[in-house]
Amino acid sequence: MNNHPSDTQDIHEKALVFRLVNNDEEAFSELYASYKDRLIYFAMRFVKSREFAEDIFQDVFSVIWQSRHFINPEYSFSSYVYTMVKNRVLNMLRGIESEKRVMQAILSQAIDYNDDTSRNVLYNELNEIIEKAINRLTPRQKEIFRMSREEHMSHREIAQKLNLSNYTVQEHITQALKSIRSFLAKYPGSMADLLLILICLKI
Amino acid sequence: MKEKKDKTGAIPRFLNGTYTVNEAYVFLEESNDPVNKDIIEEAAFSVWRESQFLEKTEESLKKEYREEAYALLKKIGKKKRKSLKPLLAAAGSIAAAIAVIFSLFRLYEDVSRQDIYYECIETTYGERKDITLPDGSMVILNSCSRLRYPTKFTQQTREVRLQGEAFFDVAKDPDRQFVVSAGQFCVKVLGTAFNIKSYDMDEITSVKVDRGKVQIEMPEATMRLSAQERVEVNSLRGTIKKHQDLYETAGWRKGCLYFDATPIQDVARELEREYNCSIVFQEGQEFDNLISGEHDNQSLESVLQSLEYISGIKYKKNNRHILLYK
Repeated sequence: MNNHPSDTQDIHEKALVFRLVNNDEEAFSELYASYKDRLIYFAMRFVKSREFAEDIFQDVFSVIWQSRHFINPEYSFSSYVYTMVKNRVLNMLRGIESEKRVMQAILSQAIDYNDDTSRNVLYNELNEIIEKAINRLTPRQKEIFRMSREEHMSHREIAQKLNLSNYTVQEHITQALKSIRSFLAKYPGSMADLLLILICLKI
Repeated sequence: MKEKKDKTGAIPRFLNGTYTVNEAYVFLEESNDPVNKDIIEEAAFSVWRESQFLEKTEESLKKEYREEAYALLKKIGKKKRKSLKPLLAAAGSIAAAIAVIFSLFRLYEDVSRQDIYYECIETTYGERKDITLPDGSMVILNSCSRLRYPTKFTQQTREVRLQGEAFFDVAKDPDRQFVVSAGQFCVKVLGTAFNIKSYDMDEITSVKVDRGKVQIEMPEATMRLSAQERVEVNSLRGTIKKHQDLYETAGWRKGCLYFDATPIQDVARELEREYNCSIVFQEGQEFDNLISGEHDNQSLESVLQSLEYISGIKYKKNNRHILLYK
């Protein structure tokens, strides 16, 4: 299931980096191909959009090629790559005021996103509605969703605890999000009514 | 179960993809707050660690990626080569002519260069000097640095050479570029203000732009910097980093020390230059700390104390001799 980076992989990578420094385009394409999924995954966790993640990834590898002579094959290539992608991701989030499209991508992935800006729900009340929606999930979905949202466990930590694959955890969360969103969407324009009901119930 | 310092939980929720609109805003706010820098770094690193356990890329997809990589190389190459192509095409036939012209040009240059004299200004430990160049540009030289410049700028460009650190406020002259050579940097501007830090002994050298735009040429990369951007070259690791830096440019002019993930060795050298002392590291111990922080006009003693506080590295001070140990 998991491909732990082993020593032989490290040696293999070091050889590729060495070739890269010596202008080897094939080595470049090999590193590009082996890092792409990982870097896209990392960037998407922050920018929430494949398109922006791709932009960042392409930029990182352009810089790698252009500054290849500065790369020291004796140092960890992966931490070099990590620093570059992380800085770009955080910069993109920092410049978010000017980059409306990034903000839009992030908001559109939120649990309670809707494009009707007139519906602003108060934070605590929204949590109650979400709570209600969570209670309608299947037991497994509920368990995993709570671990993620309330106990702040990463997908991997959840996977290890429940002895599932990362992929399965991801799938459960995706499904859970889908059904919560559709629960929230069932009350188009009447979020206020729903709130009223909830408030009444509390009394 | 886990000790997280952020109060709202917005950071893990955002990263796990289980966030609300409100939490997205909170996340962005928290992640931009320098107070949370460590938390964000830690969170990012744990996502990175997680990412190494992804399923292996399928071979068919990998093939696609490799093709993408070649396409990217082509794209990069085109941008660079464009200006060279006509030159290369003509090179074969007129090489001889060029050689003749070039040697004549060199001769002319040699002749016209004869009446150029160079001024060389140096600073020692803890010393700074204000210099006005022949074209009215202002330079402030930081400690242990040297600036060499012609007494008259007669060339097409205004060229100066720097060792160490200096802040430049360049007089506008759209017809004559101002060029600073400093270590591996060649910084070209028309009229701007910027700081170059390029001490031979330092691991990190940097250029920070205060006003306007500059072009920086390095052996293998050329880049443009705008105001409040900084480029950092780590000679030991072979990395180049360009990022926004909203701190005051050349805070050293006012006696501020400013470190941003600076290797402890560079910090030590900076303290040596600033306070005229000698700092050594305990033999047999490894020091790989990165130091961040600001110090305004403080005594060496108090800088060392705060260093101890943030990094756990202790110090013994005997007159001007300091030993750092763990």
